[in-house]
Amino acid sequence: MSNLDFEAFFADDHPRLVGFLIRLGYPLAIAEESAAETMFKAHKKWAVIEHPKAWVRKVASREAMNQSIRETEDRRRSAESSWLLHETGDDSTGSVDAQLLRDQLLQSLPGDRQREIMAWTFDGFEPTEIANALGIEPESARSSLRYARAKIKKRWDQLNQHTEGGA
Amino acid sequence: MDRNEEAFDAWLTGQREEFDAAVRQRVDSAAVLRAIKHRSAREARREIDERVAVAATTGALPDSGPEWPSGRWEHVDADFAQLAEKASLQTYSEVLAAWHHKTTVETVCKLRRVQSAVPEPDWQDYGFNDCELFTALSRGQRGALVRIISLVRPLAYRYTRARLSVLGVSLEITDELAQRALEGLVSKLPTYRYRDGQPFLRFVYLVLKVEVGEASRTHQRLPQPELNPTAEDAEPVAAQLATMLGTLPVQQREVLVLLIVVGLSAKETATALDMTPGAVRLAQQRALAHLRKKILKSEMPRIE
Repeated sequence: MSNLDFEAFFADDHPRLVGFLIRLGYPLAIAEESAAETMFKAHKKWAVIEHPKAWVRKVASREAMNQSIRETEDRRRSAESSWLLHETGDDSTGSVDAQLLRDQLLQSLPGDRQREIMAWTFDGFEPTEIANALGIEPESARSSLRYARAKIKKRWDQLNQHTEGGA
Repeated sequence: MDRNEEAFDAWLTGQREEFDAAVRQRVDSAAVLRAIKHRSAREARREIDERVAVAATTGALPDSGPEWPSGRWEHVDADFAQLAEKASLQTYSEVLAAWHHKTTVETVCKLRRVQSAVPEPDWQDYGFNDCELFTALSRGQRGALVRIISLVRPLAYRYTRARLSVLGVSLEITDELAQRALEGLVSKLPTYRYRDGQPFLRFVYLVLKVEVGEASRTHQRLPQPELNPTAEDAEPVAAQLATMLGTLPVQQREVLVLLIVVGLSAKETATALDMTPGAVRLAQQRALAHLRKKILKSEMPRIE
């Protein structure tokens, strides 16, 4: 049932989608805006989308990247036209929230690919599904996941040793 | 997996859940959903107006869009036979209603960020033991049920939107009424006489016509909310195009609603209205000629 199905999906997945974009490294403001725009597109195409969870993540990643590029471009233009007296970066409220919420684990991963694969994994996708969504080989997805996991585990081990050592 | 790995996985899961909970608290999903519905309603109204305007001025029927694959109604009888093998239509109707109630409450709870207190429906009440129903549905019946619902829902929404647009009802209210019409259709599923050879499309149309008629009468009796349209919402001229359908004789209006707004073919429209395809085409030509005259007489800008 169109709207009910969409609303149930939305209630469950909208906050997750915002979280997914934050995990990819986008600030909260861009993550929220891109997630909302993507969900609107999903609502429009709801009857023809076969795998909505994967669909919104693919579309939202593109949307967030485009918004990010636009924002950087706007800031550059504003700076060139001297509209901005100082380079302010993110709005202060947004950046505080983003700092609080941004997943420190994923931020510590080197390279976009490992972070991306780990963000998809956190949202319950298997390496084959991730490979399909990102248009890469399943083995490549598995390998990136292995490296990413190993790096996070190393950090976790260090954290444990530090806690035990300090105790 | 060694204990160290297990502990690491547990820690990772904990981190993820903590993060998800923090985002869920921070994000106002209910407000975003309201904005999405509002924007969708505005675009849907615009689309109806454009389809009516194009058909009236050019005489050509707009494309029905990707939501309507060809041959869509042909497999319905087989789907009903598959469903009937396992249980009565009454059972499916009740199961759908119970599922609908559960999903609605859970959705509202998630949007309000509170814990849902609605238990899983007791499927044994429907005459099945050990969730046998869902096991059975997963083997084919579920697919049949999903196909039927996915076929009917765009029809229900587009038909309700068109009929109530004629009355000038706001599309946000219209979509709520469309949802109720769809629920009404589900509850009336047991009355479908599929073994007697009645086309399912005809059955759906008759039920929707009654449901939408009741919804519009109820709506007209209720006090109308005061709306504060934004500049973006104001479409004084274009918004009148859909209401022009209301000036047509009932049968011609129904033909155009099904052909132009719902997007059925001439043959499907004939089945739904229990007419011959020739009679549908004749009604279509007369109705479009009438609308063209109306547009020429009015001060509306013509679509080039």
